[in-house]
Amino acid sequence: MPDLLASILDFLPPILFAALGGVLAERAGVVNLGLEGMMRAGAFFGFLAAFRTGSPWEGALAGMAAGMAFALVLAFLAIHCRADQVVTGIALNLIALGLMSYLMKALLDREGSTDSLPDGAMFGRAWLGRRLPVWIALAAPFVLHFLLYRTVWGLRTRAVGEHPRAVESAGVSVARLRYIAVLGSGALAGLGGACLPLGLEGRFTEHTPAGQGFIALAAVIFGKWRPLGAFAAAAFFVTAQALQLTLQGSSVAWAQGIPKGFFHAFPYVVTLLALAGFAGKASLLVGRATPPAADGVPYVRGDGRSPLAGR
Amino acid sequence: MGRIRRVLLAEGFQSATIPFVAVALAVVTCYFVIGLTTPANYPLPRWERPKEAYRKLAEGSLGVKFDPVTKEVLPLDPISKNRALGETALKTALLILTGLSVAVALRAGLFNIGAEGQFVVGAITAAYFGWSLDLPSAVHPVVVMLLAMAAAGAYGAIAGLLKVWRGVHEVISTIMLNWIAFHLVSEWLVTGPLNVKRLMGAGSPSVIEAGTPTIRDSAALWTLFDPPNRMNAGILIAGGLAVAAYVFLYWTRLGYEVRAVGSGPEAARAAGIPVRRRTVLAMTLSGALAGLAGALYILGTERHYAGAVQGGYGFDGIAISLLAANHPLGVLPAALFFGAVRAGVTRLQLAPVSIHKSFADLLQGCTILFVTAQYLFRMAIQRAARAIGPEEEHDRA
Repeated sequence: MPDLLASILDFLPPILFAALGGVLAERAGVVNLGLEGMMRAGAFFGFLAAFRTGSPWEGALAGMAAGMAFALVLAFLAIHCRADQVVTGIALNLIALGLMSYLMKALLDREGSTDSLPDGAMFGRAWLGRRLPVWIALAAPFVLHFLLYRTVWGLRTRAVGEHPRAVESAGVSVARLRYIAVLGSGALAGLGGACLPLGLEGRFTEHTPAGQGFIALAAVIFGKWRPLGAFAAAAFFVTAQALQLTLQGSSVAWAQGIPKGFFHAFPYVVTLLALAGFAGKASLLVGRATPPAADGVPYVRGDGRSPLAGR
Repeated sequence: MGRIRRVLLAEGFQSATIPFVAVALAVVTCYFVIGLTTPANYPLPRWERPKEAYRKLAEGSLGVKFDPVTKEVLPLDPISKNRALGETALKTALLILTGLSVAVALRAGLFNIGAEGQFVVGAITAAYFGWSLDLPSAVHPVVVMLLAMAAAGAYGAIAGLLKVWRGVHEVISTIMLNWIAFHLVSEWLVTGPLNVKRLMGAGSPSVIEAGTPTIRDSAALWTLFDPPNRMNAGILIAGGLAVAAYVFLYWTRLGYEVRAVGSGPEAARAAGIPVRRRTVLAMTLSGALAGLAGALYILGTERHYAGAVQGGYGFDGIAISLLAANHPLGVLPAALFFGAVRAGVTRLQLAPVSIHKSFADLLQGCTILFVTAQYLFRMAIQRAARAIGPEEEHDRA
């Protein structure tokens, strides 16, 4: 049991940070399907910086910067070019997939996986023998909750995701709020990615983060687009992953016999059920998962008569 | 001058040039990425590397060699050339089908991100029935392909049904379904019930390491040439289906109704079209097409479902459909381009260029990004048109 709790805590930061990033962007009305790619960029550049400098802090900063660079592309295309946000996110995932493998070969001359970081270049062990990102991650949802629900900026950001026209008529820039949210989303996803090499695995592989960005996306939805909901959902999903490892290592025969795939498919199945409204009160959420009203809808300023109006 | 203005401002001109502009920009971007990351110990000048990379890409996909000194394009030796063309055809066939999968759904206003998962479902179905059924070789592949299409079509229909019954957006449901299929197949079916050792016993001959058993010879897709050219009937099937999809969408009543749902569900409903049923139909067809790609992958080259298959063909389908402006016939050249890139990247791994094969993903991702940034391109063209001459009355359509 202590082992199970330990692996839950260890696996939590990457998914949780990315999920909070997803919440932030979507509450501001921008769908971020690029979480996986931003995590991947954050993981690679986080690894690279820590590998070169020996400092996990510089690694974390580099990871956040890389996530933000990808987010900037999403923000620019979504906010200024009215691009399809779903397609843009998918493109960013593809680019991150190709570019990071390419850079791993070009800059580090490695294929498949990098070397391991020396322990000094990873975050140190703090309380209960868990590495530092674990404890920062546990605080993060409460910080984001406070920012979104207790500050003026948070109110405006949520409003921009529900009814951007109203925010505009109050004299506040929709684009500016969305830029901040999307860049923050990229920083969080990049940080989540950086936690993989810096706080968990010690290396970067060609598959990193192996779908964790999509589990984060599922956590956003399952947590009903709320920071604390995403926290609960991420913890719930991570428990399924940790349980798989614990059971596999256990001596109980029937537990070992449960296929790995059941545990790994579990987060996606319950999210699908929650979306369909089948999960009901048995799940962490009550009722159906409904996204912010203006989620994914490009915003056109003023009277909507752009040079390309009607397209 | 007025004539040039009119051409520049025409919607048809802009839509038709966007794919070419996007590909060109992506090629240029990747050229710089390669050049800027040339390792210090590269034997030739820095900017020779991207040029050499693109030459290798052409060698591996088209079987032609470009001589930088004489500026001549020469064919490779027949064996290498045939192999290269064969690989391009194989990849193109799969990409046509996943591209069509995305395009057909988009015509109905549905964004199928799930081609990847439907591909997996089709592939595992084909792997199982290619092994378990005992049929003559004239019908075996056909039966297996139909079964794979049925299974993947049903899997695609789940997203359609969730949409019309429960209002679940298909983008989210298909993403979830992708991962469900991936995990259940690679971490349960292939290691458990459908594993070669479970089905054949560890002691039997011809047991391969992991994954499903090898399919029977009768199920193998008909090849068109002798080795090393691996080209098979898949390219003909895929090409034929592109034409069929065009005919279905534009020449039949059912296809018209599917497109009507895509143009506006409210109007379609008012016109008496059963919107819900057409939505599910489109997702089913979309799934079946992606599933057929999975079947071709197994019956054509792989011969068994080995461990984790995550070829990315489903996501490629999104890029292809987008580049083709979601037109079934436009899918053909778009798939050929990306198929050639996928076939060519294997050559990039050789020294001295030494570029990881996922370069294809980079190039493809950049292409999508430039297609989605078409707003900028359209603005630039309008600015150019304005620079040519003063605004006229008929410009404001």
